[in-house]
Amino acid sequence: MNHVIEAQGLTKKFQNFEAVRGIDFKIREGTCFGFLGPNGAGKTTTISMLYCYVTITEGELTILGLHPKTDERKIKSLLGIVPQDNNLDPDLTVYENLVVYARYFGISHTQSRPKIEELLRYFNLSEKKHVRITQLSGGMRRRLVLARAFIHDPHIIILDEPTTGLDPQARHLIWEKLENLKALGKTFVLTTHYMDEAERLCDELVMMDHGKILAQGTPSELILKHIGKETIEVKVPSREAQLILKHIEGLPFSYEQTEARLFIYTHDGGDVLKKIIELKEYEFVHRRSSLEDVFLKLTGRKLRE
Amino acid sequence: MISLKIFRIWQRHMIVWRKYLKEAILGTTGEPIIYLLALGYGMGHYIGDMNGLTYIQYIAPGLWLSSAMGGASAECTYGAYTRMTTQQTYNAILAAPINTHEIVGAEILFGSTRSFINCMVILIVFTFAGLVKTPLLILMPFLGLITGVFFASVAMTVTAWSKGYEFFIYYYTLFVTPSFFLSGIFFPIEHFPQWLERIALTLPLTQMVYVARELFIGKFEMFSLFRCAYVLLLGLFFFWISTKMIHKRLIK
Ligand SMILES: Nc1ncnc2c1ncn2[C@@H]1O[C@H](COP(=O)(O)OP(=O)(O)OP(=O)(O)O)[C@@H](O)[C@H]1O
Ligand SMILES: [Mg+2]
Repeated sequence: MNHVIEAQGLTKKFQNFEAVRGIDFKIREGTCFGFLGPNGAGKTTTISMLYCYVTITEGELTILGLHPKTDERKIKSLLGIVPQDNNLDPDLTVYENLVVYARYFGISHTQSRPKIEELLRYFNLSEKKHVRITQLSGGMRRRLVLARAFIHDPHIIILDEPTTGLDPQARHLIWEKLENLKALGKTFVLTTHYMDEAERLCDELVMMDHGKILAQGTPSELILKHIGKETIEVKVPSREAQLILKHIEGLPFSYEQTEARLFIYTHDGGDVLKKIIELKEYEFVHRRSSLEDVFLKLTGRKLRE
Repeated sequence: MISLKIFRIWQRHMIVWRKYLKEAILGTTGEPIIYLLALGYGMGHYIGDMNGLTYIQYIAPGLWLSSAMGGASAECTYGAYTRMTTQQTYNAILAAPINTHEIVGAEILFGSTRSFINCMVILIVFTFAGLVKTPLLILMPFLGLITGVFFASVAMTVTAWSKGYEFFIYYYTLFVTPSFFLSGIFFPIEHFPQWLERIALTLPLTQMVYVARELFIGKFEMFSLFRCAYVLLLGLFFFWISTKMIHKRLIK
């Protein structure tokens, strides 16, 4: 399959702060590619360079073979953008928002009318057609921003935290819609700090922190490579954890320790668990490892500003 | 670099403008008309004739044009600033194949459209009031358009630099108010001290008021074209500056 986006040594400096520090990635056509990372990791900055909203300080970037410096207009006409903050036009109604946006892409009202009706139906907004933006709920606004991104039938859709701040119903609805659209062959680029979202939608992803890529692969690859299939979470004060670690020495595992918990990552939790129980009846959870474990292991458990 | 996309954004502004049609027109034509009535009848009583005109006739053309200054200024200061910051309208537009030059161009086009419409409204009011004595005055909305391009461009420059709504005080106090009182709308500037007269002469509104007053008595000189060109060129200069500044502000 073709690569539709390729970046090499991509770097962004704001005055003297380096927000993105020389990252490489390639995105294949028809897949969903995720950027995961804690607050301030550089996700938004990275994808803003894709749609020419942030200039590139250093490095190479091509989008469908085009260069942001020289083909800005062409690139933007091929991309659909869902920004982190909904920037809908509050002066306009739902319908007007779409009409006006279509015109920005050179699509007249007569041409856009059927597409708008279709998108409103698809994103369950038909009933709100003539309502002002200020009267929409958060979930409706997000769905409208999504609908807006599809108005010109883009090749690639860029989604910056599409479901942050929404209730579970709204999130699942959006995921379903995006999955259906992906089945039609669209390419998605997504940022998120929800691991369930990434596991569900992304074919491939990178984990970023402090402007750098820490790991790259499919969700299951990342779990296998950095963590192992299974995780055992033992509730144990840190001074006692040494005891456990000593006791299971020799078995294949890696671990992480917090004040009140020990996280043991391994491919076969059964053996490890047997040995731990020999020691004492600890309170524990034995589960399949998740992306969240990888994320926390790679980016640390410390709180972000 | 600049494409017809300008008109697409302009269309967006017009949709919004239509929703606040009455407020927009009243806001920027009401004031000049009140000045005209109050000063025209009030002061006019003591002043008598000015170069063969009643005082109302003397101040009418300048006040007419001041509605162009008002319309473009309001739109390209408070209006544009709101779209750029709180509403994030520019950011949304920039995700489409449109650049900052076109966004600024559309603001100036729309600001001067408002100037044009204001002058049109006043043309109708003045016609009913019997102040329109020559068909040449059909040109007034176009003078308004030129005036609008200039004030919209200067206002966009201030908007590009502004850090909050308070900053527009500078624009209004240091530029709009002096233009209003020093451009010969209410009295001939020849009687100013020389230094002040020189300042007044460089003000674009002075030049436009001069042209308007000539039109009002049914005269049109070739030199008026130079005056219009001067104002238009200054407008284009500020358009260029404001485009650079807005670009720097939006694209990091
Ligand atoms: N215009 C700017 N000027 C200066 N610094 C900036 C600018 N934009 C972003 N930054 C900085 O760059 C870093 C990365 O920001 P970015 O918005 O890309 O993070 P993010 O991964 O999207 O975070 P979040 O999950 O909170 O959205 C942050 O430290 C931020 O403060
Ligand atoms: Mg972000």
